Amino acid sequence: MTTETAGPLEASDSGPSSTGSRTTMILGIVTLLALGVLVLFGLILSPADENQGDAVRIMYVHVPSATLSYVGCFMTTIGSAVYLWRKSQWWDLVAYASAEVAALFTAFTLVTGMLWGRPTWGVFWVWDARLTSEAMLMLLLLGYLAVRGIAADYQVRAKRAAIVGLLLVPNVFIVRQSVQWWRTLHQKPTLTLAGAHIQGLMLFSLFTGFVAITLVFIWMVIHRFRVAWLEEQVNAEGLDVAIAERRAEGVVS
Amino acid sequence: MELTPRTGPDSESGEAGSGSPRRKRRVSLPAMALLVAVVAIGGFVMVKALGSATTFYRNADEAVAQHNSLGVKRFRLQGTVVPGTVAQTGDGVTFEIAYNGVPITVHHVGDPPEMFKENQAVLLEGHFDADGTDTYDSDLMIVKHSEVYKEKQKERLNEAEVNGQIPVTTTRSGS
Repeated sequence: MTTETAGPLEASDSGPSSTGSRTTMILGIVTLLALGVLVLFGLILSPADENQGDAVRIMYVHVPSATLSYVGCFMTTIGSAVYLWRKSQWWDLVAYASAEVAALFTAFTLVTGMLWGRPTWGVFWVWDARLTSEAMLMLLLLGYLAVRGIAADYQVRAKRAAIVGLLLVPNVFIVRQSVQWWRTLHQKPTLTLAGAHIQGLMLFSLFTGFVAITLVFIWMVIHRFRVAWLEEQVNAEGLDVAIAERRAEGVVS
Repeated sequence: MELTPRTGPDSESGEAGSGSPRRKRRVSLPAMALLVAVVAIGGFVMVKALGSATTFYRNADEAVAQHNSLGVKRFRLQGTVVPGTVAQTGDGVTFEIAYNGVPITVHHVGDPPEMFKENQAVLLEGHFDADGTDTYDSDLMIVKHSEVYKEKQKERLNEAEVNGQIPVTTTRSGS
């Protein structure tokens, strides 16, 4: 493989050589500490809500995980766009790692939302615009991962996935604006540029939620990226070995 | 690893060396145009589909205004529970809801959700009564929450002062 094609072999020395590093280990420890702080404020120190009671505590993970799933979608769309433009494997794997973590966070958002909905609304699910568009986002993320899973050359899979990846940000925008554009059961945002409809310890608990969940997100994306990168290195090495074998065959016969 | 076509090293290196690999990979203009078109159409369809959720519910005043066209058709109704109107019935609960000052009497069959109370916005599924009055027969009630969160603390502090001890929250008590 002496060609300059961008592919699994490109810039293999500029990527990670293991799944973790000293920095990511420290990040992991800080993340665990942040989760501890979140538990402390979210479940113990913060008060119950006037209307929702203790169910309000679900919000401290629901809202941040939804927000971070949007961030993941943005990263996937950006990674996909750069991949289609520059054919950079690094960006493709950033898109891939982000999509997988975003799918996890979206699923978590849906589950926590349903667990909150049952005691507060009285139902787990309604087909209003917010919930429907969020379900679409989940399906699109699963579609992205499925397209990647269809057996084909790396470049083909990456390209197909990248095209799906481009759709994520428009969908995120629809989810985000759904409560403004249409009548929904789901409430409008509590935190806006104009101000917050939440104060004191509840606001602080939501803040700790954002910090902790963001750290979890970063940790997960970094590690998922590293694993994906190393996987591709192994695949590429396998390809090298196989090609070398075939070349040897050719020489012998 | 299996590499199916057993071509010799010459043909392979020849393939890799021939032409410019960059040209092959460039996304062609028609393909890009198609992609943009598909995305635009997909987005349009999605917005239209979600747009039908515009009438996810009707507010009480709108429902009354559209009473004639609605007839006994099923639709979702939204309004705030009017204080002092809630009464238990044999098979459910009856109350008034209002929106923009327009009230509707609701006969709800089934147990209301736990969070159902006066001055609470509720979403109902059902239809206007066949007798032609602004009475709504509901069989599904969903409590609608606002985006405003308020601490229960003040009330608890008052309780604490009265009782002379710190009240235990439900979370800390466990069960």
